Amino acid sequence: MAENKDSDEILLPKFSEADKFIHQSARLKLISLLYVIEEADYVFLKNQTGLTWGNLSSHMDKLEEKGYIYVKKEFKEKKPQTTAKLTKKGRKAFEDYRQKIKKMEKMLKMADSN
Amino acid sequence: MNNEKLSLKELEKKAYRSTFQDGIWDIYLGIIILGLALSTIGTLFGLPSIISMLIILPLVYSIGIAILILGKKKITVPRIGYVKFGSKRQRRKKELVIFLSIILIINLIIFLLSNFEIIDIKGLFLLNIIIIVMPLGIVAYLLDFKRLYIIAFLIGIGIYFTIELQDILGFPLSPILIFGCIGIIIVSWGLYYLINFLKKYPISNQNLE
Repeated sequence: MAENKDSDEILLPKFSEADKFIHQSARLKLISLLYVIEEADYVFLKNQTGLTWGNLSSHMDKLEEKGYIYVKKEFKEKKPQTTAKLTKKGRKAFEDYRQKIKKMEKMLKMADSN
Repeated sequence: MNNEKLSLKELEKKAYRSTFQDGIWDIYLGIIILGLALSTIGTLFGLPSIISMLIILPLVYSIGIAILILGKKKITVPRIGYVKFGSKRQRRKKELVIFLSIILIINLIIFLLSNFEIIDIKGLFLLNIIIIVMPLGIVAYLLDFKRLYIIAFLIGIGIYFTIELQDILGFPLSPILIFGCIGIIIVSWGLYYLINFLKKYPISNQNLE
């Protein structure tokens, strides 16, 4: 029994605090989108993710606090524009998260086939 | 556990394609085709066709380019937002510019050769397809802009009927009627997309800090 427990621990990928942070649905949408594009303003992020302004703003703040995104506020033709892009740290954290999810999927498929 | 499967490729494609839902590219291309139709109109007033083209084409194309640039800047970006895509898309954009420049040079050479009657382009349907329709198909692929395949197909049909109906309608009525109709169809569907886009994305006054 103890042997099984040990082998499970070896096989299953361990989810870190960073992974749990990214796994939250709204943040996952935002970080995935920022991963595939170079940068975008909040209007674009809102339209693509379907989040409300409040939700978007609060999750973007959290991502910025973690150092996963870089937020730039500027004026373009006298209008305020807030753009965001993924930092190296954010990119690395998302890649690690993806690898763990992929590993987990692979294992679940193997378990299904057995 | 989040069950949504992460398909990053699809996510990027969806984001990229969203920039074409405003119909402005369709309107621009429709105007270019209308320009082709109108470029021969001067011959009805006794102008040589090359002079007619040199007067009308730059005028119509300037209107088209102004609509494209201003439309994207004043209509699209304030509604769907600003986005800069990754290096792969930027590389494709550069490839597109190089490709279009080569096609433009080839088209200009063939246009001049046919105008000075060195070659007879009017009878060469296949050559028209190769220098106009196929490049448009490649542009559709490079831009990932699916409606452009339909536009390329319509232009192909237009070239075929312009040549086929030349004996019945005569020159310049044949290209004016056929490319005029195709241009109007494409501008109309562009406007349809634009109206839907304006309804779907009203300008938000929300100002984030």
